[in-house]
Amino acid sequence: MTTDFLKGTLDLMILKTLSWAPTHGYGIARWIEQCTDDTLSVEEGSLYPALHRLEERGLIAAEWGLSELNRKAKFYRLTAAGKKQLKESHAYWARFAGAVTKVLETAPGTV
Amino acid sequence: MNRSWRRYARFWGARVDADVDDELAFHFEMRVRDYMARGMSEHDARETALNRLGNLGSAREACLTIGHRRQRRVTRTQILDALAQDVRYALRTLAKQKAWTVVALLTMSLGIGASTAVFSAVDGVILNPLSYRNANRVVSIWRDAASGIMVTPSDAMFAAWTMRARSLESIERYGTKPMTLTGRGEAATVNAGLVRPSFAEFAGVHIIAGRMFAPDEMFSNNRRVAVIGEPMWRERFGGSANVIGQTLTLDDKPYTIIGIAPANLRLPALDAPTTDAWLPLVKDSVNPFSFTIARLKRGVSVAAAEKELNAIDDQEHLSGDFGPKFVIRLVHPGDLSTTRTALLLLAGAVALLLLVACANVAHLLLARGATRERELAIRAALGAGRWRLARQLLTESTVLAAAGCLGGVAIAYAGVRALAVARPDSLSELSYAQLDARALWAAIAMSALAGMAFGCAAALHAIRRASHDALRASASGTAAARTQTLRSLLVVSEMAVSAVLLVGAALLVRSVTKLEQIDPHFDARNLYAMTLTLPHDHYSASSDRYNFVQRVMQSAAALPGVTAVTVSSGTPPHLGGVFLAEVRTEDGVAASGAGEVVQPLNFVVASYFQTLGIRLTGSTFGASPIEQHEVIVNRGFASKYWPGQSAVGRRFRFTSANDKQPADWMTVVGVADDVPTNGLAADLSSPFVYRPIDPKHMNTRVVVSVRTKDGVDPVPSLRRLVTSFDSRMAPPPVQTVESDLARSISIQRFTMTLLAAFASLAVVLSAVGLYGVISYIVTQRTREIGIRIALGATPRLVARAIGTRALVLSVAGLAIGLTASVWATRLIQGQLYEIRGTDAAAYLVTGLLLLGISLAACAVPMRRAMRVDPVIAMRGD
Repeated sequence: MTTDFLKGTLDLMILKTLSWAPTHGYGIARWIEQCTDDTLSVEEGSLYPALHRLEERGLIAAEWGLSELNRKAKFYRLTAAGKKQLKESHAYWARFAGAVTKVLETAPGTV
Repeated sequence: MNRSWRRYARFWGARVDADVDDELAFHFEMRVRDYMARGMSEHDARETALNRLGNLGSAREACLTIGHRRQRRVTRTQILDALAQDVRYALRTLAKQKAWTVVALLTMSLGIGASTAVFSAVDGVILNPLSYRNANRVVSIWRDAASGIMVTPSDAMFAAWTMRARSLESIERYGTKPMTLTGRGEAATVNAGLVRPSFAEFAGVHIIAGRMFAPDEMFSNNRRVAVIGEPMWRERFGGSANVIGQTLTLDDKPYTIIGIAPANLRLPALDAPTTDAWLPLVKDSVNPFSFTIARLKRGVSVAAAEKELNAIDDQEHLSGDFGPKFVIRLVHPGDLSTTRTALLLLAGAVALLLLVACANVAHLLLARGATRERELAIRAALGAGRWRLARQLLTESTVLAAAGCLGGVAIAYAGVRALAVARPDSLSELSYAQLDARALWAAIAMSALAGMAFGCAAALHAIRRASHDALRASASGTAAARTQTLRSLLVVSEMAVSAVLLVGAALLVRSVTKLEQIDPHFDARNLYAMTLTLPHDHYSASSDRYNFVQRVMQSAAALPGVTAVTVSSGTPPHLGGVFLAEVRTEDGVAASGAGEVVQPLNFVVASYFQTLGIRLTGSTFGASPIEQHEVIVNRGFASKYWPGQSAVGRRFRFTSANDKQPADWMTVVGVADDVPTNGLAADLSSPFVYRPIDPKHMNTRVVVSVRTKDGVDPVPSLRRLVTSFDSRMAPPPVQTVESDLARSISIQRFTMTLLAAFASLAVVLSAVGLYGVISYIVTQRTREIGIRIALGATPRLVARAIGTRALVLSVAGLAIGLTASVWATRLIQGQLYEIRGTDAAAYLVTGLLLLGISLAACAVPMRRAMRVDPVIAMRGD
């Protein structure tokens, strides 16, 4: 349950990152880290399998290209299916996060 | 090192591994860079990065698993997609070049179809004539006279072998007999197969319904049983299930039907007609000839079995039945087929035709590759990979080959049917031939291979050109020269093979023409032969038979338009019987010293020679009283035994080793012209003897010959006449002697027609090939020709140059072909009548025909070359 939950979160963050622009795995990792002010450090051990799984499901597509430093890198971009998935997951996540927040912010004993 | 290995791994498709490694390495490098940007030393940055990333092994494994799984799935769908796309594209391009596609398809279909049909026939008739169980071990057993005549073994031999022969697994004896079926509509002649109870088991065939007769039913005279054949069951009994137990009247005797045999239960005699009814084989004075067939034990050779059977005969003193010169021979049934040589000849011819067809398909593919260089070059320039282009071309050849094979199957199927329908009467076994899967596969494999091989060659060549010369117009590289050489070689060999086929066909045409022009030395026009087979049971006394025939002859003579009637035991081109004996002339030992001979003869009456129009020196037999010592011989007989002298008045007699007392002398009263007695193709002058019909010993089977005025058809009245005298008899067969003569050379004519058809086909194919090569040359050289014309060459000069090229190819092919023919025609010498394999006319006709056709084939490209406009040609495109 926990792993699935986390996996789902990571997938969602990857899709959201790629919705800005295509980038490579390292770019995705850095983006997430920067967005969360380095509070969320992405485990490389889970990031790459997640990327490959998303690619396999056709939510993202990969292509080899030259990185900003002129090195060959694998660039990922969002596919149409990925965009749709992102929308759905995003709405779901927002509802879910809102619900959790409500639960957490409700003071005990005020029922 | 590491990097180059990766590139190598990637090249061979281990993409997933290399990709994952590259991706992770990139990530690591970036991390290091980041740390360094924050002020770390490179060493520290690497340490920190390594610590942070830890062991990426499990991530790598997970990525690899996903990657490989994906790759497998993707490759599969990609391949299918690409294949579908290629096939669609191939179909589109093939449809675009309709003429080319039609020619290629026709070539392939005809090659495959014709060869499969003929090979199926060969298989059905020669290689595998019997659909028996373990047919390859089945042999028929004969006594072979030194003169090459085969005689069936005696009953005593059969009994001895059944008891003693260890080399035989089983042995069967069988006979055939035409019988008259009555009591079911009009009387009809049916063919009875006389067999032992174990015959069905020997053949490996199960009776459809009921049962085969039991051993104790073999000799029972109060209860006769019959198993009817499937065709008769369907035709006469409507395939009804309750026939078993019903009665069948054959030759006036009731037989109880006890079973139904399937159509594939066949007698081993190849030219045997379909068997209508199977009856127990009993010794029968009317039809004493029984044939013997056996299945060898596994691993026993024919020679070993022959040796054993001969040894048994010697021990039992059986070999002397017909004199000591007969030895036992075991023959595979297919080897006995009278059409064996003809069919093998056709098989050889059709194999050559298949070769030409393959060469032509190769041609067409090469030519196509050449014309598509531009298209391929453009596609290459637009980024299509070489492999992609090659795959496209290969797909095209495969699609073409597949379509050609389909057409081939259709033609083969129709061909086998056509062979069965158009077969000459003497080739009845052809009607059993069926489309043979092995022959079909062989032909398909061969042409598919040719298609693929040359499709590949064309593809490779075109691709090399496409990348070399890119879009340059008419480049003449070494590769072009190479295909041109290849194609020239193909044309030369096609021409050569066609020449061989043409020479063969021409020889056969000449041979058949000669056969048709043979003077039979009698008048076959308006002559009808009616074969009477008198039922032995009603006409057991010879005088009854004689009287019946006399009545028929008198009534026949009274029919309107009939001018003469006679009777004999046979009419040309058949003989009336044979005599196995030594001919001894009164003046001493037989001139030839041949010892015992198989002496063909004919029993006739005095009017025979005049009715048939056979010229006679001396006189015919006296009308009455019939003098049994009188004999008439043919010219061949006279010149063999009394060379250079008159035979009239001489005496000779037939003697045999078994004679208890010397036979009577016979006096030659007349010498008759040589008429055909064993078909038109046999030597007419082989010795022949005529003896008077003896009313006291007349055969049950005689031929009544009737001559009519022009435009009279006596056949229906003759047939009616016989049944009106005896309603128990089936209407007898009546044939015109002319058609009988023609039928005796029908195999030759059949062979000739087929060979001529194959040869024409081969010639047309090679002409197409030559046309292709020459027009390719013209296309390739358009610019050069333009320059030459601009420099003052006349169109005639240009035409001559092109014509010379074509001529060189066809003359080279002709030279090889005609030389090969000198050798090849030796194989068909046996099929030729009075024509030598080196017949100059045949070679001349072949040469002229092929040259003429070659010139015709290159006329169109030649005219194109003459009309080249130098301005347009040199501008290029």
